[in-house]
Amino acid sequence: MDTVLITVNGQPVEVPAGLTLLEALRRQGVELPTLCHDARLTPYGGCRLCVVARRDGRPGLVPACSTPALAGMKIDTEAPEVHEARRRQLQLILLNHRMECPVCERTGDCRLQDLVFEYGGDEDRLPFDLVRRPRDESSPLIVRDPEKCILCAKCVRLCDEAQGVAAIGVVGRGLEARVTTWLDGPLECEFCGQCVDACPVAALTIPSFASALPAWQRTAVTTTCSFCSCGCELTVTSDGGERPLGVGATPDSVPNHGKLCAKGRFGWDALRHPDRLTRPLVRRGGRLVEASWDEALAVVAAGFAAARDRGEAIAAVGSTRLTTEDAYLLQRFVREALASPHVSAGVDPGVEALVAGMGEVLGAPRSTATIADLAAAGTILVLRGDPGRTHPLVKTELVTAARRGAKLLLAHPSPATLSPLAAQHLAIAPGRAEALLLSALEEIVRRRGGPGATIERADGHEAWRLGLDPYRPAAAAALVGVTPAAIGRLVDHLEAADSLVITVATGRGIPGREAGVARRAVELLAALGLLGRPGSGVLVLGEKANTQGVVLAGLDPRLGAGGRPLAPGSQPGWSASETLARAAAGEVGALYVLGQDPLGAWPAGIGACRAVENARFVVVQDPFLTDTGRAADVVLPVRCLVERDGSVVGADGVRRTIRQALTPPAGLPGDGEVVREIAARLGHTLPAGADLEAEIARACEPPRGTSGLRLTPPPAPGAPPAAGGVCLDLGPQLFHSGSTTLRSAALLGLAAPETVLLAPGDAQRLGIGRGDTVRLSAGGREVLLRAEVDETIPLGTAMALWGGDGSGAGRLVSDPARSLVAEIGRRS
Amino acid sequence: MSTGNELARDAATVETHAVDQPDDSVSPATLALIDAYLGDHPGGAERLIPVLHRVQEELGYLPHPVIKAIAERLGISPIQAYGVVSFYHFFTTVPRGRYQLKVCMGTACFVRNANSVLESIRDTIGLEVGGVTKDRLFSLEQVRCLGACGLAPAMMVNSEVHGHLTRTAVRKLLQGLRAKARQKRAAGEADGE
Repeated sequence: MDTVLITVNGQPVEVPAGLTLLEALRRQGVELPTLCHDARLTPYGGCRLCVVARRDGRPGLVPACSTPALAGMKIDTEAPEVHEARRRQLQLILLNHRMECPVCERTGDCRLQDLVFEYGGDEDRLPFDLVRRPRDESSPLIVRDPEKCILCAKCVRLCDEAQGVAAIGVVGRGLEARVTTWLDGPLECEFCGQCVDACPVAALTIPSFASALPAWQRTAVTTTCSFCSCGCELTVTSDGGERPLGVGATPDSVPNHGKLCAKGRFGWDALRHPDRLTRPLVRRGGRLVEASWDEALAVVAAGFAAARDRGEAIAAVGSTRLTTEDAYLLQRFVREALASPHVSAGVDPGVEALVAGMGEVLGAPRSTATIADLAAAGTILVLRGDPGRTHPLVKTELVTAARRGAKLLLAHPSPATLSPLAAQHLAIAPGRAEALLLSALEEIVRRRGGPGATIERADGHEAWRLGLDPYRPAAAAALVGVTPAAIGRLVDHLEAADSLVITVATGRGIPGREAGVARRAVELLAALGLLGRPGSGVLVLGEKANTQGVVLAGLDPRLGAGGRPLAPGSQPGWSASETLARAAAGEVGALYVLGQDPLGAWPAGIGACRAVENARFVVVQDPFLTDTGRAADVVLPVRCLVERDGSVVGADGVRRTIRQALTPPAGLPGDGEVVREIAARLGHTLPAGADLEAEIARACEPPRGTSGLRLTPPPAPGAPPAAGGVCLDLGPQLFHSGSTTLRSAALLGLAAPETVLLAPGDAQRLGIGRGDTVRLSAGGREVLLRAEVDETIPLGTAMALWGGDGSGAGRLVSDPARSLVAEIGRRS
Repeated sequence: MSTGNELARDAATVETHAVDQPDDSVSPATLALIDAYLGDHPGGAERLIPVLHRVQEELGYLPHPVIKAIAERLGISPIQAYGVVSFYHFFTTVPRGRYQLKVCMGTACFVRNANSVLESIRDTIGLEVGGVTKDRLFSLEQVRCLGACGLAPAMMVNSEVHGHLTRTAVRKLLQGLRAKARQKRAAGEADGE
């Protein structure tokens, strides 16, 4: 690396070439004051507090943040004129800042206050009055106080450069300059809250976190976000764990670099929802009544023992929200103490893409790309859903990637914030991502006259090749919902790629088979000759925080710990849906449901109702009282992830620690402790402490070497959806991703789940207006939703939230893998 | 202590509250103008200032829906475009007159009684600084220095400088412009019949 020699405060130092003075000085351990600098953003030079004096013949002061460090520069960072300049600059900033430090909620945690303490500037303030501007409380969740704003514009720049939204801007000039929204309206944004985190003063605050507790009396715990599989590091500030008083992330946090989303920032009020359980419930005389832990656990142990002794099937349905440790203990408990192979992670999205997708095609149920790979990838193909809806951190990484010149190829039904940045957006029909990939594969193989060496080495490549034929773009484009030429252009982009990351979003309600998409994505990399190349790969984005972790823990009927095959001779257990089918048929003696609500939140077609009714003994373990809980024999309340110590494995395969940041109500135990206690009562000891950690660490180890490629012959193409109805694109919608977010008043305030978005053309054709109540019906079921007309929705499709509590359009779904065509009409 | 930024404060308060939710519609002719300009000048968001210039040249001002339409076409957010509009004194979001009067209040004009120019304008057409006549024929601003100190007191009417102004000269100039406009309108109506 090239270096340049500069002199700092009389000391010669060598620094890497191409840095700004501020960066160079920081690397030498010399800190400069600044209010507007953010290492993640383009240098701004707004606050002028980082000025330094040059001593190399060039007179004057220069702002270090926006001056390149050049060979021969001599810099003085602490000269009297530097201090005087900073003091005067602070004076100018204070001129239009409402100073009310004694009652300000940021007191003790304010960068401006720190600097005024250090440099002065408040003693002889300039003879101007404050420009009065009212506080803006018109937006949900975020309050703006323009009289405190010092115009560092970090909020404005983060909103644009990092988030890609640009909902706010600096308007006006001089004393009239201010940060505002378009037409001074309420914020219309993704409510990521980055602006609040970056604000050095109290111009942006979150009223729900307001507290009289001074900054120095708050506790802060850094943990991993538990809302999705991005694995964002976040810091929860609280009054000793009782109530969150701030949720933020530092710019050097990994993998999120200070970014969070609305869920991770605001969703924590869900933990205090009235459904939250504090004591176990046991069914007595037909009613659920509160019981002591000892009584409840005795009933559970007796129930499991009875089923085991009667030789009846016992099955556990876990969740991808368990910690890796808890998932590991659960599968050991079921397989060893209950001697049953029937243990799964429910129907949580992402598991199939990992186990049946990546596991089948490459031998290991893991993603082969990381979130960090997005920062360097030349081309990124985005499948199944806009990560802005499902995995907000990934969306911001894609914004950054596109801005640095990466080619973004979007293949999902509805365009969103990423579309203007994309090289191509294929608005495919809902659930047709696999067909699109097969069509692209057919085109590549035909153009190249063969599938390439990697695929030709795999067994069954001839059958695979033949199976592609019906997917020739000319024939299959209608099925996919785009033109053959668009598929051709996609292939042009793909063939030009020297590195390619493919993201596969998963989320409840996103139509189509996720495992098929993951497999075809790997095949696509193989056909392009990019399989196994560093910087290229498939990134499966699991819906919940620990999708990858529970798979590696062995919480799957097809796999053991580490995602390794089951021991020879052992038969795979039942999947979650088979478990429920067997239970409905009366074949299950005891059903143990952890962190899942089959009755309230699973596709109606799975038949959870009869399953819970016909299983002899049902135990539900959950932080909340769910619909399934209400029908269970015993309900055991547990901690949420943010109240828990342990680890989760993010979509990128990195195992991250979670720490208890908030105190659980009534000293609740975690899932693992409950499982261990039940096991103990059945005479079985589960590993703990260092032993457990060693076993988990082994399970999470990256696989040694790769097995070959295993091809799956393409399925016969389905028929395009019948005309007349509207194809439904369900799934997460930025602010909601399931039962936890739907219990957050803050997030419900941002978006009501009972809404369906229609294309203007469809709305007109059906005579539906904004705000109308409409009836959606499919397969004999119907729901009523509120209609919104959205010009980004393609004709013939409609978008609705799954509704993790079983509400909304999710009730129409019988088979989540199939795209759903619904009749829509005004309520008569 | 008396305030040095009374004006700014008033302006700011007015600005915060005075923006009505405008009608979102932009005339097809204006959209065509924007699209034609952008079509002739390929590029990215760096075309913002030139296209704003072009549209203001045609409309006399930049209504909010027009700013939004331009922003959408350039792939930036409306508030970013408005930030630029609000920064430059040249751009305006309120209509100006067909004849934009800019009275110089620079030092030379000031000592040569530029105030009398303002007074004569007010007496002749009832226009105050910052205002627009009801018929949108005239709008009045004061500016710092036109760089025509030798002609003091001076004012500009659109791009034309008028110097050595007296009350009478101003009155005659404005009456002449009004008569011209009336003639034009009459001719236009005659054409229409």
